[in-house]
Amino acid sequence: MGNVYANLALNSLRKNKNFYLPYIMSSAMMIALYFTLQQIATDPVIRGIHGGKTLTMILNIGLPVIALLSALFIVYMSSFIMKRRKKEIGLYSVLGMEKRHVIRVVFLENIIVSASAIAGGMIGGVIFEKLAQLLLLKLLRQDADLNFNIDFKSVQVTLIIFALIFIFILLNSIREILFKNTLTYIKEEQVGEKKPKARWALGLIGLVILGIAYYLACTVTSGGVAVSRFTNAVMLVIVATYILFIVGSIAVLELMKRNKNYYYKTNHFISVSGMVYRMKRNGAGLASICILSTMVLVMLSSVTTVLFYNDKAFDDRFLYDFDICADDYKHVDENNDAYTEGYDSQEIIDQIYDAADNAGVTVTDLVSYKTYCYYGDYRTDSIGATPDFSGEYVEYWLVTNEDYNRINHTDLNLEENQLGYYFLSGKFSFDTSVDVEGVGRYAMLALKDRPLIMPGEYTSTCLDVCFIVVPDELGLRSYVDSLASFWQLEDPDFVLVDSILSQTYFAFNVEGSDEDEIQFFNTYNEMYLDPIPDDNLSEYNTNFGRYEGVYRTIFCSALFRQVFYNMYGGLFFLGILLSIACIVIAVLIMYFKQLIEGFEDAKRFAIMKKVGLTNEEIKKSVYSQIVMVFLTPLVAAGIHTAFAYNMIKSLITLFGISNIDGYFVILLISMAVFMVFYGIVFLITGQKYFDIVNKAENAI
Amino acid sequence: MSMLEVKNLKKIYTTRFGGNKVTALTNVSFTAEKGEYVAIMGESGSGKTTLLNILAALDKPTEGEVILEGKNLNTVSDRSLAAFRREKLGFVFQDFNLLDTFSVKDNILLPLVLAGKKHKEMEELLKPIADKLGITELLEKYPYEISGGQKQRAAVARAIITNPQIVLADEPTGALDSKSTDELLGLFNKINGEGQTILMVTHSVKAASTASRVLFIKDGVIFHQLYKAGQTNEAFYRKISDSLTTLVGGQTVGGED
Repeated sequence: MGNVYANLALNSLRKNKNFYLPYIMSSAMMIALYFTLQQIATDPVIRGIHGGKTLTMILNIGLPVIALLSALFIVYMSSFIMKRRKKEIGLYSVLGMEKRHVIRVVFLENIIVSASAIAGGMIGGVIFEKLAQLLLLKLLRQDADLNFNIDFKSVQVTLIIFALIFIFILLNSIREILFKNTLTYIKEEQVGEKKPKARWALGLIGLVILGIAYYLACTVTSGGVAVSRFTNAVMLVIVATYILFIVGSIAVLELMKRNKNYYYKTNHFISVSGMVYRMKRNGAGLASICILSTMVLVMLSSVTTVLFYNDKAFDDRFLYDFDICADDYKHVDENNDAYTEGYDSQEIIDQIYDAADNAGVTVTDLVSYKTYCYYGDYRTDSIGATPDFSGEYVEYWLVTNEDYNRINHTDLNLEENQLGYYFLSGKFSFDTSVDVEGVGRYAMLALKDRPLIMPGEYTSTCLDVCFIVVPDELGLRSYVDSLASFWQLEDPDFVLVDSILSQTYFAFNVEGSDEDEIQFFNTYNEMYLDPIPDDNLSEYNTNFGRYEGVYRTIFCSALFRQVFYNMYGGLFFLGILLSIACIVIAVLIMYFKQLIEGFEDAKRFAIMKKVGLTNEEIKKSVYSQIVMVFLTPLVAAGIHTAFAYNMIKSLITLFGISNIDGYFVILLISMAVFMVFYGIVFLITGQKYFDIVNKAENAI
Repeated sequence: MSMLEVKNLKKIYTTRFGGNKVTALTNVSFTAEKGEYVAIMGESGSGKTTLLNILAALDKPTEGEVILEGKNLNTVSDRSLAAFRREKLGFVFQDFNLLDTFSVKDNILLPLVLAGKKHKEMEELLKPIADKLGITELLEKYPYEISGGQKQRAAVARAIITNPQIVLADEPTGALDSKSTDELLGLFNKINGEGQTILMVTHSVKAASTASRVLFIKDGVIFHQLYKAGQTNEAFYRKISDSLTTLVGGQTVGGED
């Protein structure tokens, strides 16, 4: 008896292989993708490399996203297939099978499908993971070390997640059968299509929402603003896309229909009314394809840009092999937040040479400067001292004219009441004369060279940095004093920690190889830095420490290069993996859409032929509709991406890449590549459509 | 000259590998005059669908010819066949064959649009036909919103809007309840009364009894025909039933009525 059910299950799977095969394959692909990510996130080889934990962290952000995407899509596919199969299940009931028998068949089907998907996914995952690992190590510029250690925790986690998804689907099908009258299923496919209504107001709202989103994206001026607006803009675009695809498209077509002289023409008549139905049915699916395509375009182009500018970002960051930043105050009593006089910079310079002697290396090109740093609003005509964070705000770094010349080997000579400035991003500028809030009015001079960058923070800061060069020591004093009194701070020099950071920077090269640099780094750390225990920063804590209680950072370019590679390589890798996931989903939606279109058009073809259309007429009109339907998401994705250009560009600056003109070219290339890919997928899935239609046609 | 002349039609289907040959039509000849309403009756497999397909130019005969108003269908090129079908023939099918993407109105106008008519002209042609068939109220509705009988009336409107030389109906009452059947057959009589030539394939005696002449087809040959000649529907119905009973040797044609 059990055999009967197994046979029934196998037979119906075979009969519906057009649906089940892609379903199993795509589920398997999702599983493989997830497993790969999970495995890499826990891979000891990758964890072991310097900065590997950063990468693990980045990957761990991506994991839940992939899991959620997979779950949504697998559930979507299964419900789609169940809907198509209602008639068959109805037939089982008509033929006298009880619900428990039907459930048994469905249960077996589900088991077979999930088991093959999981098995295929795991096998594919192991292979894919190995390939991904090689690629990743290559990206991170590490020697690839072939090993086939499979982490059982990854296997376990992957199995549990996807088993849960499939169990959910199984329970859902069982619930459907238990609580609905399966006998009525047999009629369900015959229920006619409702006439789509044109909802003008909603379409208009969609347009307005899209307009707002585009406006938000286009008026982004800095990375900080981009971050604060990104989520909103993305959500708005998604909402608008769905509205416009579902109701907007129909409204437009309805408008065409109302123009009788246009509509009642052979060319327009069949395509317009056909399109109304296609859009109604496919609106949501096409909007999804559009959103996924946009995501792929944005992710591909931005991660490629980040990877492409990896070296430049690194060079931007490290003008010297080493930099050290020392806070200019000492804790007297940590509990009281009281501070005393800061260090003499000569003391720190002596320490650097001592450490070099001990490490047996030579320090050259040592420069140092004192700086005050504070946040302020950015406007073209003023420098605000109290940012309200509504508009642009900038980190201002104050340096003296003398320090500036020493570092850049220039002979700048600022006048009294004149300030030089340099924006790291290069995007902003000041009017010729500016009111510095709380300080006074100054003439502004744009500078060509920038002083040293501050260590560490820059790579992760959302803010633009503006170096302000002050005429002399006295000018700097009075600038800071004025600010302090503006903020009503009593002792400007030592109670500034909250408002104005007072720090001294040292930068220098160490002669020799990377090993020599690392040797110096370790020696210095051992001699002068008490590590700060912080679990969250376990990867970085060698860079931070305290000397006699005062905060100090040291960055070694040789060590940090790997952190850069890992961060950017990891991002690139994650971007590619997520892109693949999105592409897989988009391709499958497309495939399923073509299947449905094929089956439905086959019927329509037959009728049109009987009514007196020639094969050529039918094909011409219907094929052009199909092309239109599948090209709209691509075109819309292109438009979205074009409008996102400015925002994405600003976001990329957050990765420490200040000047990214190359992004435009990369974006264009990404678009071109994606378009070709999309076209190929369309043609291949379209072939399925033609097969179905032709088969039906020959049967007429 | 007759409206439709069918001469010695023969149709042999060959299976794909050239093995079995199936003779669908052995030798069929008949004529239909202008304004005539002819019903063709026969069992399933008698060849009546094949005959209709050949008349509709959807299929080609192995031998013989069909002449419609002096035009031999064999001489119509494949290229112009669709246009020919569209202009000279009107079709009514058992399952209506309305396109679900079109409103009733657009379904009816389809042949005119294909013929490249002006929209104003279409509206002018549509109005009297819609009134006549009682579907004016339904014009803006979609096929899924209306009943089977209403769908079939829309299909009839589509068939006659081009003013075809002949309307070919394939089991037009097959999917209708008896009330809708009566209405439709009444309509056929009405448009026939206005001069429309109709050729209907059916195995409903009731449907056939509304025709002016009934041809009986069996095993690919026409073996009998009956003229209504002024009889009432009921009388003609009985006569058709009797003919079927005697001629087919106790077998009834079809199960209904």
